[in-house]
Amino acid sequence: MKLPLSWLQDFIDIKKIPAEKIADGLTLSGSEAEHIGKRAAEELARFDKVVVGQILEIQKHPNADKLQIAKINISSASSVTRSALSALTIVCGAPNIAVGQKVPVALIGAALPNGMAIERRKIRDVESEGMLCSAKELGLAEDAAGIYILSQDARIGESLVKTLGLDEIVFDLDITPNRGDCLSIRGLAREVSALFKKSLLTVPPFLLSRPLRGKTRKSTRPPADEAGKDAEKIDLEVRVEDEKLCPKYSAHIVYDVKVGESPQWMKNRLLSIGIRPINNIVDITNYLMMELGQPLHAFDADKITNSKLKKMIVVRKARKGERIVALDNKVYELNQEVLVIADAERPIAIAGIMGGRDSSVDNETKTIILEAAQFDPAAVRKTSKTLNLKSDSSYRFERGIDALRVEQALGRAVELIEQIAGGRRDPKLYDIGKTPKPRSIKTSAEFISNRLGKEISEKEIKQILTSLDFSAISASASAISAQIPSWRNDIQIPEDIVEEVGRIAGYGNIAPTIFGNDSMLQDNERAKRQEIGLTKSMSSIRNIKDVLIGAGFSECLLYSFYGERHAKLTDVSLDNHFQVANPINPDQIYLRTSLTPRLYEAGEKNFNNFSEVRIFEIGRVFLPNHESGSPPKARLAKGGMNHGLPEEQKMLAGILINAEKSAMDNFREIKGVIEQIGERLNFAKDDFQWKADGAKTAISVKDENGELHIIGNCGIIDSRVRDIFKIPESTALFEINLSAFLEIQPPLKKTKPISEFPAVLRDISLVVDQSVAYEKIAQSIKQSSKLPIEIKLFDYFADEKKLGKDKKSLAIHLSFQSPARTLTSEEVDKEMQKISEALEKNLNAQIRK
Amino acid sequence: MIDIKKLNQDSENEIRSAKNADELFIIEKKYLARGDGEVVKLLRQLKDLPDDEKRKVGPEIQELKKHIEDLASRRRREIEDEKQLESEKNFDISLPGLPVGRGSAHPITQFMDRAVDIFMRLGFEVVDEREVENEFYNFDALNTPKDHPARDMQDTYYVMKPESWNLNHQSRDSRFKIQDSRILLRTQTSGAQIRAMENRQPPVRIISPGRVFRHEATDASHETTFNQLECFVIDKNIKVGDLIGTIKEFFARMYYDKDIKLRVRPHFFPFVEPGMEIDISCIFCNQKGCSVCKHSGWLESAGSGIIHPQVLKNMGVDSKIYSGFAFGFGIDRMVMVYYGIDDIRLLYNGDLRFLKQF
Repeated sequence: MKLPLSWLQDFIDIKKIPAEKIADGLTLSGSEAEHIGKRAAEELARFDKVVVGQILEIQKHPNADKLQIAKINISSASSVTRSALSALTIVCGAPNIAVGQKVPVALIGAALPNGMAIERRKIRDVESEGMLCSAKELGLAEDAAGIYILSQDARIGESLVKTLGLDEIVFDLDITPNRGDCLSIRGLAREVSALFKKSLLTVPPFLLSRPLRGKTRKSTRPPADEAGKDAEKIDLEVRVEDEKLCPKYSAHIVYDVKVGESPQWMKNRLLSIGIRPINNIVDITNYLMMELGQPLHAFDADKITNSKLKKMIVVRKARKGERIVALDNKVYELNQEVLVIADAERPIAIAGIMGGRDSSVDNETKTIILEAAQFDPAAVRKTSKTLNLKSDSSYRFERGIDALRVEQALGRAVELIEQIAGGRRDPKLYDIGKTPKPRSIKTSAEFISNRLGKEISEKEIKQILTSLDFSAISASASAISAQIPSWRNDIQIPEDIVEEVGRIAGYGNIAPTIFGNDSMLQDNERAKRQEIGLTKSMSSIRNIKDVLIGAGFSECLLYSFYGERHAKLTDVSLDNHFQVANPINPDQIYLRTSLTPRLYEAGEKNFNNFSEVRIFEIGRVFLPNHESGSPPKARLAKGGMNHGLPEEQKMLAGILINAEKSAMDNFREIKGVIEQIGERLNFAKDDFQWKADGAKTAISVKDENGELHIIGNCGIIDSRVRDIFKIPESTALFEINLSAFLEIQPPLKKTKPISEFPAVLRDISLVVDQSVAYEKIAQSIKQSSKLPIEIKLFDYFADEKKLGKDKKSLAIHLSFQSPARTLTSEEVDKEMQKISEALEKNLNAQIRK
Repeated sequence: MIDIKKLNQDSENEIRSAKNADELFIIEKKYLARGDGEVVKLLRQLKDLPDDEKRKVGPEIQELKKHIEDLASRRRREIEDEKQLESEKNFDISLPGLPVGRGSAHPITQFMDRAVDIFMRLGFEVVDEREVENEFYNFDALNTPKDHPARDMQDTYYVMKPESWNLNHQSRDSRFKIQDSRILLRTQTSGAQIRAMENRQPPVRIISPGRVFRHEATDASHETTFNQLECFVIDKNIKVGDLIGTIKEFFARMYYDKDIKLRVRPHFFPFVEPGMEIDISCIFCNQKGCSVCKHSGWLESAGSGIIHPQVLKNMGVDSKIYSGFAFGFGIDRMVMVYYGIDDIRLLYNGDLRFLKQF
């Protein structure tokens, strides 16, 4: 909402308060001033020598076809001869000038906003004493097509700054959706009044039932015109079919209006608030909407169809198949939910949103029907959403208008039309609907003080409420009651009064405290929950991240949705994915069921910049869970409603890209990282089980009861991934369901005694078939010796040239150690002999010497 | 004639001029060698001297011996240092450090962790709630009815159930029919208030961090995805002062090296009444005016308020007995302001060139 300061000053005398202070005041009271629009002094100085002139005559330039010579009067003197004498001769190239027009004239010595300096100079032998300016030359608009033509009421000789109000200060305010009453100059003036403790200026009352012949002061229409007009008097019937959606509808007929241009001051104000001037009738309705917050609409009465000699205006729901061409020249198909204003035949306006083109006021319009109404906020909003059509009017109806002042706005509009566009009002006020009863609210100073945390007296509360136009205030020590101003639709509950008092008294004056209530201290349940939450998820996740970061992995946060190409890389079929109903681009169609597709994508991008990429993400995935399709009983009892929602799981996934390393090396590193994560969470390496599951490896861990639970998988990327993302085929990945993993209680650990006796170390190196798993070798070694052995693989390779097809080479450290005595070299050698023989015999291993 | 002075002077000069350990060894030997060292020779001459002379000269020679020994050992250390210095002359300390676990934590989770830690120290419980929600939790229960302009404040991604689902999975329970069951990507963490209170009773102090979504085209300052931290307290007699105090305490800790001031502006959020926006004094310019705070001196930091009685009711909490406050931070904006990140998209594209800077 834009607020021009001069307009505000129509309602309140605040000349002595600096604009910045008013802006701060509004910001701190809830209407944030996001910007103060204001021309700087040096900008205004550029208009110093630009004044309003009138074109007295135009001649062709003798030496140039495209140029004209204009005589311009810039003297405010009324005498024609004197102005002719002092007229300036100005050469002009623009085609849009005509005698009688008022235009901006840059005098000799002017330095225009576009940098042009105006000097006395000859243009093709004719001396020009200045320049007529376009909007672009004045820096007011991009329009360079012609001279900026001013309204006829502009005063000759007046500085352009004054005529166009270029020194206006405009606040750009962010009005919250609850404060529909602040979407008008009057409403904001009320706020400023309460904030700066200045009463509003009295606005003249708007008389509705002025007698038909009682001409307004400024009407220029000669009385002769009025003769015989009564014969044309319109017989109008107004009917409201849905009083719920239209609680109030009032209308007035004005005859003999003269549609034309609005006065310059009105245009200036409309432009400063962001509205394009159209014609005086439309401009007046817009002007009053901005001033008073009441949307108004004018119909051309002659374009409204009759029913049995009567003009009809019906407020009703649209009929099946009805459509309307609105003022934006677009066709809107209306459904039966949409409230319309109709004549005898067809809709002529979409209620509260926009008028129809076919009934609109144009230059030929003579008689208008002026409407001021109240429409149901939710219904207007629904229609606006359905038709995808918003307007300043719908914006205000959605947020609620002042139902008590509908007629007042109508009266003011009629009055302004009479003043500006002539016309005679029909004395009849069409008025359907009830005036709402005033609402009251009850609270107490104690309640307000308790909620704010600051002692505020009844007296102070009364003052604040009075300043906000609450009436009939009764304030005692135990209770406060007050009548709510009709425009404050947002005030519903005592807490709303807390806010009013808080914001006017100033939140800055409340002493900060920290919930000092002892009911906190006795609550073990809360402490317990806090600790459970901490250990179950947060600290474990942090530990996991520490391991990953220590292993060189960087954390990413990637999008929760992805496209079809990503979705196809997961184990969940496309039709089992939850979908985004309104994706902005194709990569937002599906909700992710796995973190890996986006990781491949990020991996690909990073692989362009780094030879090795290690990244991981922790985040939620959205799985189709048929069980959550029907609400679980336990949840029902608590009122939890997960019906139709996906099953969300917190996942951890990572990828390791290193083209120089083999798939096996990358896989083993990933496996090592997962084991390390397990150890950090008190699982032992032996608690993990790795099992081939298709192309991937399923990861399981043992719980405290020795039961295995699958927690995720790992492996090497497959060709489907490589078809889409350019990453090396040795890329390894893992994905773990943290929600499941962190629920598993690790088996209780027992420490092993440390042997005091030295270990005897031996190495063994062997070649076996690829099909022989390391696990088997380790088992064989342990089983063939009666001594306790620690074994550790230290070299592994599978090289066809060196070893032959389908062979692999392993080298293993063996550490023999007894808890009870020192082992001799001889007995260890004997054990080594047994181990070798067993490997050769059972696994067909070649022992390398 | 015993010239101790000369011997003293000579030995000192020679030791000082020794260039390396070998030379020093020779000089040392020259004076202190058992057989023919100069000092030892002097000591031998001592017995020929008269007694009173002996008493006078004896200690002087001893002192000389000690002096030479000290000098030599000091010089030896110097020579060793010089030698080391020499060998280290080409030791390039500017070579990059060897990589040791080069991973990094995402700046958002780093910030979030810090914020969460602060609230934990203040006795808050952490709950982690769903990202896909139905309209009831995201809007209706938070006093934001359908067809209310407040819904315009948050553009929403709506979610469709999987195509494979059929009507069999629709609930026949009439309780669910009264609620709008459209599902969506949550637009705010405030829904966590309702979720968390389904199995809790006041008093509570809860925070809920997490991802939220807005239906917006992305550019340098708009993102579909960001992270919020929701915080709420419900207890007897909770007041605006508690809200301001808690936020003040949080920022005093979060930016403990700055002197943080608060500004409270009334604002509208449907789920609180009164509602307010909290600004903190600019952490960069200390309110002198800079580009980060757009010369206002303030940084918009949290939306907040006293929990609306209707929301308490929706939680099953008696608003006659209890009151509460709630606020939420946008962590992304805090991170961006803090690190001077001018393109929000960098936070969600997984680019290591960016991530490794943290």
